[in-house]
Amino acid sequence: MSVAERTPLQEQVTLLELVDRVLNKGVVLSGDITLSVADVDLVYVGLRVLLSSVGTLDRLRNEVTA
Amino acid sequence: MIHLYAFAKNLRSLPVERGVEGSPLEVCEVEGATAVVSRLQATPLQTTHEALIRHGLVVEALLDHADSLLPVRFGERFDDEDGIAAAARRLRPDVRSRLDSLEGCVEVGVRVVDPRREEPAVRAPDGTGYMHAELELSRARDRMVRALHAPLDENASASAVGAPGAGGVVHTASYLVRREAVPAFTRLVDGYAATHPQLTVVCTGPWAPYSFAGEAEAAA
Repeated sequence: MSVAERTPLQEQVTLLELVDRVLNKGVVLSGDITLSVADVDLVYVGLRVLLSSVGTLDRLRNEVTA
Repeated sequence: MIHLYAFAKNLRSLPVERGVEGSPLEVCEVEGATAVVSRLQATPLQTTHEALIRHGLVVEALLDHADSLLPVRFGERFDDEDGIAAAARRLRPDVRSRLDSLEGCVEVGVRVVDPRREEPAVRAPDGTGYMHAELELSRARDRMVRALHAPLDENASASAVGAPGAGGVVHTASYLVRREAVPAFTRLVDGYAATHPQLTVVCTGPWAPYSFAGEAEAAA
């Protein structure tokens, strides 16, 4: 089971935001990286307000370490 | 093979975090900044979910260990330290200037979803009426987004607005915010969400300033 499949919704959103940044943002030095994942936008349908936090990242860290 | 995570200014210590494939973190000095790296087997780049998360978690953990952090996009790998230095030298503005501009700041992500955007278009008796109604709907949506973005932008050092996306996403943006201003900033988002119950407002962070790391630009 992947990390995304076993984490609650808030952690999944945080996870997607993290992956979006890691893959699509940040400084590029070599300029020849072309990686992509599915559009993250769809996951937001049906959510209300969600404030992610460092605490969520800590839980994610535990998940990926497990 | 060296995997590069970020450049840091005044890195006080390395976080207790393993890198991609469980590799230990190391530092090397590059162009007046500290590069945080780990050494991997020389295999083709694997874009696994675990590797992406590892990279991201290392960068986020570094945020609290340095005065300033310049996140590097996943996938930057080099044969040795000289390779990193050569690539870093081609950056304009240079690494040090980018780190200076980001000092004391973090990134906050905001997305707004309007579920109605996915619903069937407005009804009108004819084509012209339809176009007018669509235009009015679009203007109303723009006003709604501006009511959020304008105060957020005012309270941020910089902002990066993306194009509306699938799934009814009408606003997707990242804001560069001073650390101490984050609580007040998220209160603004909260306030907007409270007065717009028809919308989904998602605020995430604080993140390392990925969206403000700047583009690569080859030296002339």
